This record gives sequence, structure tokens and C-alpha cells, in this order.
Amino acid sequence: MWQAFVRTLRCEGRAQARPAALRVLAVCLFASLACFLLCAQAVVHSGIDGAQSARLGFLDFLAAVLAGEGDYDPSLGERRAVPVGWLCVGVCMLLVTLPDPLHDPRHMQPLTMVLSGSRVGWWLASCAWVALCCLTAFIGIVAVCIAWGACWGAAVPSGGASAGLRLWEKTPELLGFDASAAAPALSGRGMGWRDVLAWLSCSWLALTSVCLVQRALVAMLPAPVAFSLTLAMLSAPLFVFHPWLVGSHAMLARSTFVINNGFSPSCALGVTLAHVAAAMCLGAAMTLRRDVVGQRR
Amino acid sequence: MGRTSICRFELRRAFTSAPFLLAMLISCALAIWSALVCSVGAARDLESVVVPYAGQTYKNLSAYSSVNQWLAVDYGAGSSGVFFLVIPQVASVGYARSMRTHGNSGDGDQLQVRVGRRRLLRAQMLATFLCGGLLVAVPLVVNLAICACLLPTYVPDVMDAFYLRVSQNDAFSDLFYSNPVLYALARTALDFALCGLWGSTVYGLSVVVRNRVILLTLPYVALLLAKYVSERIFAIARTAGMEGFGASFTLFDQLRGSPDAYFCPLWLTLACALAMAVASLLLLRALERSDAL
Amino acid sequence: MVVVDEVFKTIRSVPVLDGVSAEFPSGAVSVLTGPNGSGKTMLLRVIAGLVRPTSGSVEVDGRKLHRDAPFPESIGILLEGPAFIGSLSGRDNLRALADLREGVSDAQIDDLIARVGLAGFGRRRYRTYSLGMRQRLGIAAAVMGAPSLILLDEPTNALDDEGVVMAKGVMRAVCDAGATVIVATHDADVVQDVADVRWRMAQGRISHVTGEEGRRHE
Repeated sequence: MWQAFVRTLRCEGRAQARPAALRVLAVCLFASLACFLLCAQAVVHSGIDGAQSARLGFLDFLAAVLAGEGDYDPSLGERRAVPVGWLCVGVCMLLVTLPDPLHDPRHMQPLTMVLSGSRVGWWLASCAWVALCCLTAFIGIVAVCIAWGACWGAAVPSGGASAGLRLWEKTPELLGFDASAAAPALSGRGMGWRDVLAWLSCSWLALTSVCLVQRALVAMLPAPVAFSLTLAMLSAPLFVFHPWLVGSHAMLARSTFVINNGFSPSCALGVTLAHVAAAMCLGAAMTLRRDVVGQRR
Repeated sequence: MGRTSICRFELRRAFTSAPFLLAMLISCALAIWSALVCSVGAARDLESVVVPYAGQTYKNLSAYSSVNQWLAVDYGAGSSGVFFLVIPQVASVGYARSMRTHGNSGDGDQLQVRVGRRRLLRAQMLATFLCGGLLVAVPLVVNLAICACLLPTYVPDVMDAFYLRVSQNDAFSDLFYSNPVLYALARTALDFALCGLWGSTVYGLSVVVRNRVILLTLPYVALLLAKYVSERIFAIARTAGMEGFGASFTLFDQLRGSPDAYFCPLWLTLACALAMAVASLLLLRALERSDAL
Repeated sequence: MVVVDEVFKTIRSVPVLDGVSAEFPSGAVSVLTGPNGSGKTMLLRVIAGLVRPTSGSVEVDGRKLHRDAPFPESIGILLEGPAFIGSLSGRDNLRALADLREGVSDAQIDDLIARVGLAGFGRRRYRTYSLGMRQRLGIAAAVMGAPSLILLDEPTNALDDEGVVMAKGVMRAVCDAGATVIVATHDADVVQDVADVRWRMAQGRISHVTGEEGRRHE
């Protein structure tokens, strides 16, 4: 099984590296666009209220792409702008991993499955490829944000009790989410590097779990239908504030670092791992027992 | 095979295809979820309002009207938000297909030599239009029916406007406050046309996009990007002092009776519909002229 | 050697394979013939491990499928037409598939491409291939790495005369190297020129067999 896993992953890498790289590049371009628009907005903002400079930090650039929205209460019945930028990131991640002829039951799946020698190894390789693509895309997003931050002249905290990365107090206003001033990311305490890494890891896991759910659904449904279902799953947290909606854990604005009633990294870890496990088990069940009959191209 | 026959053939194939049925299942499920969530909540509130105040003239009753809780009008509930975010994708999945891969499968060639390329493409475009339209119209009707079963259909009172979802700037607002049934008909017909045109535009893009998965997902991403960029630009403009600047010209908002934060007049919606119609026709012509590969 | 023992397969109450028993010897080309819908392709899928039989067993080189191993250890298949990645060249497609099996070098791949008559086309994108070229590439993928079991479903589909000669030559060569080759075909030339053992299937059953050993099953 282990050999089948390694060989299938190698085959996937050779066959899909270039198309996947192009899609990851598209995700990075989007992140770049989001950072540019944030800068533009900050410049206009500073010009209006006479601030010395738009004090954007590295966390602000990350928030421009991955903030999402904070607490949402539908009972208030207010009109508000949906955080489409965050949704774009999620959708792009889905599309990075969606087209995959080697694991498409209507394409090359019979051939690659038989040649790999193990159904379990084949399925695990499929999941590993999804996770790898998501990781690459996510690292690309973070790298783009850091690069924009560096170009902007964002300062790195130098040490001391309040040395953590902070969101600029105008960031929630610019990005359109409500935030409590007492939250660490906005107050003097800031977010330490460990906090940032913890949050980024949970965010990547959350997005990966959604992609894995999509991969499991592709085993049963046509790819565009699987994408539509996963899109509904990804959109739900934009309208419902609940920890069991895995997309919530990919939003910076819903973490305990930004809002007081936010979700902690441990909560995020539990929910995302549960989703990962469920997706992998579902896909494994489909792969292990299902007859592979008939190819449609 | 005559023109009517090929249309009937394509329509029958479209409405019995698995993607269409699955897409209908998804959209109806979302619509039913929305109806139950909104109506049950409103019915409970109505009970706590009407019973204690029986015998008194109580304003704001029309806030609990079934039309006000209807999917196309309600902007507060999460379910309606998810529905309108997802429906452009669902509408394109129904019967859209890449003409190139369709041709490769063999049945495209078989039909073309019997009825001619032009007739076939037009029949398919019609089928795609109807599929896309039905994928939004049927859930809207189902949703309204459920709301009407659970809540009274008061005519919305303009004095209750503060509590109602449709404002004077929204399309057909006059109808909403005078004849809500006609409003529902007009709204459904408009949404039918918008989603149908979206579906047929996506189909027309198969003249350049070969891969079916890319064809049925990339236009949705482009729509999301357009919404994102426009909202950012409008936010920048508002920061710069241009209050009231901004309009929603993406399908996500035009399908709703009460869109998100931005302004969405009827003329803009009709202009977008016209643009999609022109795009569909131009792409259809391009498809007719392309090689039957 | 492949041993099929009382294999039944029912799909939605329809018996597709109805008690098939057969022994396919190593170093011989076994050809399955029969009318459309007789179950030839389904039998190949069962032997490949893609389909789990409702009852019965399949043993490949002494190992029972679905019990000792999910798939035969060393296998090449061409079932229901070739399927490759359109954006890659023929050569790159084979290179990617070679990663699933150890010990196939680039030189061997180039040699294989030439052997199936695709020399000069190996670096063109697969989506530009004609049907016959795709079939040739499918045959190349099936015999790549010298597997000990090769399953071919209608290998001469869409091939020109030279291609048919090539396909027969390839089948003969791999069989002479000791592989078990099982071919499902309607092509009378293949049956006549290449078959060592002929199995006739009808309505999901083996109706009779003729071959070197002269065994007959009713």
C-alpha cells in the first residue's frame, strides 16, 4: 500500500504539476489583486483623515485575503456586503484541485488504479495530492501577502510585551467586518508568531478539508455538480455563525484573536480534522467497494 | 428531423439528464430550507404579536407577510444568501456542455448530419436557456408556496417599509406594495430570464473552452471576481467621499428583490440581461461557424 | 496463469457473468470471442480487479484477487478504449504511467513508441492524435514494463492494416516472453493468426473453448 501511495503520488506530480502550478499562480494573482486594492483603499483613507501614513501591517495584508467576516446575526435583518474576496479564495482553492484526469472515474481512474496495485494507496495518494496543492496555493497566498507587506514598508514588531502583529485599527473598517477592540489582534497585545502560525495552519486545514470533501464527491457525482455542492458548503459560513461550519475556521475575522466570541485554534483543529476524516472515509468507502465499470470521456 | 423535433429531442434530453436533476435537487433543497427557516420564525413572531394585540390596530403586520419572507425578497436569512450565491453556478450546470467534447462523443456528429449544425446548436441553446431558467424559477415557486402555506399573505403596507425588505430603489417595488402576487410573478419571470441567459452564455463559451469542467466553473469565478473588484472600488469611492456611489451589476444581486448593500435598479438589470443575450447570440454564431471537431 | 473459478456477476438483477470458469495459461494468447453483450469486457474487468464478482474467485499467479491482493501484481490493460491526458504528449503520458511501475526507463519508452508506430508523434499532444494513434498509444501503455498479465479489449479497433500487423506482432512478442495475454475481440484475423486458445462466450457463460490442449467446456 505504501509503495502504491508513493508511486501514484509521483505519477500525479509528473502528470499534473504544470496545470496545477498554473492554477496556483492564478490564486496568487488574486491575492496580489486583493493586496493592491487594500493599499489603494488605505491610501485614500489616509488622505481623507490626514493620518500620517496608512499604517498597514503584515496582518492587514493577510486579512485582506483571508479575513472573511466576523460575527453575523441574521435576526438583525440588515443589509450588508458579503465578503466575496474570501469566497473567491475558497473557490479558487476548489478549482486548483477539481480537474484531475488521473482520479476521474470517467477518465483515467481505472488505468491508474489498476497499475498502482492498491485501492487504498491510490485513494490516499489522491488525498495527499489535494492537500499538497492546497498547501502550495496557501503558501503562495501568504508569500504574496508578506511580499506586499514588505513593499509597503510594514514594520516587524521588535520585541516587548506588546510586540505581536496587530491589525491596524482601520482595517476592520476597510475590510468591512466588525471587530471588538479588546481582541488581541486589535489591542496592544497583538498576535504572536505562534498565534499567527496556529491560525494559518487552521485556515489551511479548513480549506483543505473542503477540497477533500469535493474530491470524495467527485467519486460519486459529475465534477461540476460536486463543485456546486462544495460551493454551497463553503458559502454557508458567510450567512451562519456556527463553529461546525468548517469555512468559519478559514476566516481570520472569526478567530478569537479578532472577535471576543470567535473560534479558538483548538476548536478549529477539532472541526477541520473531523471533516478531513469524514471526507477521507467517504472517499475510501466509495473507492474500496465500488466497481469501476464503464468509462465516459 | 424537423426543427420542432430536434427542439423536442434536446429538451427531453435536457430535462431528463442527471446533472439537471441533481442541480434541481440542490436548488430546491436550499429553497425549502429557506422557506422553513424564515416562515417558522416569522410564524412564531406573528403569534407573539397578534394574540396579545388582538382587537387593536397593529401596524407592521405586513412584515410577517409570506411575500416578505419569500426567498427572492428576504436578505436577512442565511439560507437565501447561500441560495443566491450558489444559483448562478447551479444554473450553468443544468445542461451546459462543451460543444467540442460533445462533438467528440459521437452523438453530436450523428445529430448534426441529420438536422444541420445550425438547428442543433439553436435547439441546444434553447434547452440550456430553459434549464437555467427553470433551475431558479421552480425553487422560487416552491419557496413561495411553502411560505404562503405557513404565513398569511398580507399586502405589504408602505407604512411598514422600515420592516420590509424591498425599498423604493429596488426593482418592481411599486408592485410589491400594491399587488404582491403580480410582483412575485414579475420577479420570477425576470429571474427565469436572467438565469436562462446566463446558462446559454456559458454554453456559448464552449466555442473557446474545450474542457467541460473548466467551462462550467470558470464563468462563475469570473462573476465572483467582478463582484469583488466592483465592491472594493465602490468602497474606495465611498471612502473618498462619493456617497451613494456604486451599483450591483452582477447576477448575485440582480436575481434578488432586495440585493446586498448596493443599489440595483431595474434598468441596470435589464441592461445586463441584454448584454448576456447579445453575448449568447454572438457566441452562437461563432459556434455555428467553428469547425465541427 | 489466471484461474477463474465459478465467477458470477449480477448488476441490478441482470446476470452479466453466469458461472464462468476458465484457466488462461502463461506464455499463450487466449482470445475471447462472442456476440456483443456476451460478457467479454466484464470478464476482463473482473480479472483486472476493477469489478468484484458477486460470487466466485479469480486467481492470478497463485494470488486470489480481493483476498490476497486488490489487483494483479504485474498487469497492463487496454479496456474500452484508451484514456490519457490531452494536454500531455504521448511520450509524457507513458512517462507518467511508468511512474506507477518501477523499472521503465526513458529509452524503453522511446523504443516502445517506435514499436507501436508512433515514432515522430511521441512529442505531440495526445489531444491531436487520431483514433488509431490513440489506440496505438493504448497498446504501448498496456505492454509497457513487460507485465506478466496483459488484458486487451478490442486492441485492433481503429487501426489501419499496418497497425493490425503491429498489434499482432506485439501480442506475439509479449506472449513469447512468458506473459499471460487475454484478448477480447471480434477481429477474425487476430483470432486466426495469434490465438493459442480460443474461448467463446455467450450470455455470460463460456460456451466452448478450443486450443492447444484441446479442452472443451460446455
